[in-house]
Amino acid sequence: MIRSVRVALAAVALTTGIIAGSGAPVGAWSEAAMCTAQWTAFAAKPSISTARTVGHCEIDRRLIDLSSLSTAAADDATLTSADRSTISHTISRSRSGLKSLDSKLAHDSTISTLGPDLDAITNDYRVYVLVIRQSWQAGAADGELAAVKALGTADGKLGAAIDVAKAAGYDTSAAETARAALEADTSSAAALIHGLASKVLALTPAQYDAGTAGPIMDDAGQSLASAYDSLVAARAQAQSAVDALQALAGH
Amino acid sequence: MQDVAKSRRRLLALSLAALVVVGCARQPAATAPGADATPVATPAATAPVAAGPTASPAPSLQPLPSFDLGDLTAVDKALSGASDALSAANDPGSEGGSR
Repeated sequence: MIRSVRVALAAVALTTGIIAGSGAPVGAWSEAAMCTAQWTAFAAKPSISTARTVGHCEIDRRLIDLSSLSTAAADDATLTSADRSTISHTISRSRSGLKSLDSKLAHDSTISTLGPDLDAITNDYRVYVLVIRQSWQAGAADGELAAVKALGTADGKLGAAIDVAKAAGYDTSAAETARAALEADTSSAAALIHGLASKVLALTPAQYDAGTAGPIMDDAGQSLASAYDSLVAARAQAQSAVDALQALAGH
Repeated sequence: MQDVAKSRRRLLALSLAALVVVGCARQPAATAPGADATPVATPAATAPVAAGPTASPAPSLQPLPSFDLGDLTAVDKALSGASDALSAANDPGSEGGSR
């Protein structure tokens, strides 16, 4: 009987993925070694009890990281109110579900009920590979949009300054060239990140498990990186235009 | 004898005339009582100079207003936040070996 339980738990361990043989999970968010003792105990003596303990720990780990994500989203000054609301709802839903699952785990006394609940910790929520990732991608997109907006303001002031300098008889060609590059780089970035935040925030654990959400987030990550590079270049062009104008003014 | 006298009168007349001319040309500057009475020559009027084929002087450029750099500070803040978010998105943590 004991042997059959061990065999069954070993099967659960393999199928859930949460109990992979790689040992303690490594993540930048939670303590890397947070559940090491639970994993070690389970590996030494696979049982419903030790598996349940691993499940509790993994749920706690996710709740801690969701709490950190909630704080980060609240503190993110460039996150739009709509995206902050969406992220907040996702976090609340995940926390609520994980807490319910934790209560359910406490009463699981058979492999048939414990196995699916252990699976659900990962598959039903996808806290790390989806929720945290999509939230930060949305944060990056909104931050880049804020940069686009600030660059637009700077561009308008540069245009006005160039007009003044030109009317006064100065040669503004250098400032105009830099300003044109600034506008091109900013437009390129804006096109890359347009609608990206809402697109990634709409992704669900089911889509991740179906294999469709991952590639979308991969593409989003590349777009965000490219847009960031363009914005850095645009910022440099803005500085060049400012420097050119200041040189004219004799600063 | 009469010719000699005539010549002297003519010379005297010319000399007086010359003194009058010099006197008119050298108008002493008005000086306050007790001040140095050294006469100052009145500067001659500047004669008009015919315009020649010289280069035009550079246009006098107006000073430009200083540019508000605060906008670039806003750009820097937004980019810094985006960079942090990108880093976090690229390292979201592990589901526990099931990735």
